[in-house]
Amino acid sequence: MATEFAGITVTELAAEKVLGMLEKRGTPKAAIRLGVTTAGCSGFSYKLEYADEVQEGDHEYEQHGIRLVIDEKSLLTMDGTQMDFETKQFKSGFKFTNPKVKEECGCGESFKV
Amino acid sequence: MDVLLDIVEPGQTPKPHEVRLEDQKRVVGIDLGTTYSLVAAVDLEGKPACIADEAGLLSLPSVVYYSDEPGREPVVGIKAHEQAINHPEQTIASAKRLMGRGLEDLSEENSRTSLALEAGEGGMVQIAVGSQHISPVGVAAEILKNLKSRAEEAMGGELHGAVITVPAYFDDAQRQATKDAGRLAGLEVLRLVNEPTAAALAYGLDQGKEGMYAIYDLGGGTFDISILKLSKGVFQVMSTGGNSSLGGDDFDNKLSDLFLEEMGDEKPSAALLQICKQEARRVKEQLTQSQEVTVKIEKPDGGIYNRIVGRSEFNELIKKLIRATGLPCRRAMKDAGLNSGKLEGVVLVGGSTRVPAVREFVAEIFKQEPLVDVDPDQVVALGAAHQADLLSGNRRDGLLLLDVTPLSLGIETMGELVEKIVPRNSPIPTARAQEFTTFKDGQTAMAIHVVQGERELVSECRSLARFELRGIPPMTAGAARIRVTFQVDADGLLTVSANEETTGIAQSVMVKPAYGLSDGEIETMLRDAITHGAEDMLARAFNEAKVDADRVLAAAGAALKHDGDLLSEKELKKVKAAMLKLWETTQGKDHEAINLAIKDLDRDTTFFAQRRMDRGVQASMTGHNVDDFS
Repeated sequence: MATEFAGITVTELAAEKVLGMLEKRGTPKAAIRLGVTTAGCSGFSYKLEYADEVQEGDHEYEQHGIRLVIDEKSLLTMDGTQMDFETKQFKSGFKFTNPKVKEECGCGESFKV
Repeated sequence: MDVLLDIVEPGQTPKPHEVRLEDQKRVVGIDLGTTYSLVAAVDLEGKPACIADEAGLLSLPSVVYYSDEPGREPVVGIKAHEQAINHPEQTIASAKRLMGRGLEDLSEENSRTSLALEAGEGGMVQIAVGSQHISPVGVAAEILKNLKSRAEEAMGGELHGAVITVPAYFDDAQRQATKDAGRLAGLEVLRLVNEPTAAALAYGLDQGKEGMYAIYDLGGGTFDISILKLSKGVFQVMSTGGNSSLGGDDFDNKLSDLFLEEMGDEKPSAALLQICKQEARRVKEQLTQSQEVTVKIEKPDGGIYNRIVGRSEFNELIKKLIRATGLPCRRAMKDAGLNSGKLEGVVLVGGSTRVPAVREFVAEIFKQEPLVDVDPDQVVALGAAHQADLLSGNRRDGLLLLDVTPLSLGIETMGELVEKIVPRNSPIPTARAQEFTTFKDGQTAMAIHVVQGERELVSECRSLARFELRGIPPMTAGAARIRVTFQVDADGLLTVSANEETTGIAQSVMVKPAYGLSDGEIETMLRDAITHGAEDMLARAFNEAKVDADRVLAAAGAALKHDGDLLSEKELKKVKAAMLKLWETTQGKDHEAINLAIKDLDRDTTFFAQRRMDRGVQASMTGHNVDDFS
């Protein structure tokens, strides 16, 4: 049976930053791959990479002019995640708000669902 | 912690806790202060800024509370400060004053603290808290850990390193202790930087006009003055001075004493004392903005103590305290060899420099308006952050930092004299070498005694280390060539090495002196060096003459033993009389008499030396044919 997914969303600001970075990389048409890896002290940790090709079974979402791809296994733990961009005084970067996360490790780099 | 991600190339997602390139840029500057500590970093816009804690506060009180309950983590900052009233013996404040110090150095400190100070490992002071024994280094490490975690939260990952500031007068032991605290807190200490130098950097004075700058630092409990010289983008500390028990807290005490006196409470409760101090502090702070402030304190009998304090009244009250900073300022300028009119700028550091009367006094003594644009509480941390940024390679326009040795470093030579190798106020890092030789025939070892201080006699200086260079081949006195090298690294730590040049044997010692010196002691030593200057020179002249006399007497004695038969009885009597006379002068105090007696003996033995030489020549020619020499 096919699972129904809510999918991944991206804010306008994050999309704008992604586009800028793709331009700089010289691959304005490339996608961005989200995912999880199973390393870290408390289960999963996120993956955020440039994606020059789409793999079989990938889910693809398009929003604010950028393409996001994610494998189905990762989507199980990241469904409903919103990708945002934050700039604070001493740091900046992409932030995932994942409704499935129940618990984060102290270092914040890994999480449990 | 909020983790913010970067997009990486396919397959390059780092494992958790893996060190990435951008982690190496995560560096901070830390102002590890006596009363408050701060941490700063260069923000995304490229400007240094202090990092606030969760409550938005920048300053962390340098106070640590140790609970009796086993396994409880120490509490740092305001929460620890709150414990000070109920658990004074478990709440450690001002640990910086104890860093790298021995119990003996701290008699004054010991008398005014409620902490149980005791001698720990290697004579270093430690604090007994219940069954625990806490070292000042451990206390500093707790403060650093707190600042580290605050910075990691704000910067989104582990810190790569930190620049920590220390007072310019900190000696080797105190600097080493600060480094140890950093290591204990899990921080890589990129460098220790002198507080005044950090303040100058925060003002960007390195980009400014070349010349001399004064850094006037009046904190809560300490006063420091430093003269820096900027040339070709390089800062050099020319001189330092100060008073380790003068600061804004003394201003509070003056006011608080006035309140108590007017209330007529001769035995005020601890609570009332506390209230008066808090009120005094508030008045002092408000008077920086207003001309007068109203004081209202509820007395123990229920009555209300009410009065108005005007700025001029307050100024009069603290006038003596402020004036007390004048002498160290004048002395530092004299040490740096300049008149007040020759300064390019004056920088204010420390919250107490907000007091208008302090600013006026500074302007008067240095004959110019001080720089006040950067927050005086933050200026040191901001400069340290700037320096950390340069050291981490985040920028290319780096500048070289130079500091100075607070006291001369040297070794003991014959006659208990000090041979200075690295003079006071030498820019560091530095390496200086000097050659020494053996004093006696066949001498195979040499004791190297490293001392610190300005006096001419070893007994008046501070002993730092002793070691022996062994295995010198037996040679006649004066033939061995022993090169002693003093190396002071960028953090002010000293390494002394000695090597005998003909054989290459070498020995070295890293000096981590067990006991440090307070700025007060340094000041005393400097003052003594000036007041005892003439006396010291006489003592040096005498000891030198005596060393000479001993050598001449030993040589004459040896000659009599071998070749005494060359002399008639009358001659022998004359030589012996001259020797006796010389020996007698060495028992006195007059170096000129000794030198005169040496000359006399020399004259009275000239013919003897001549005959000995003739005999030597004859001896070496005996058995040879004259042709052998042609």
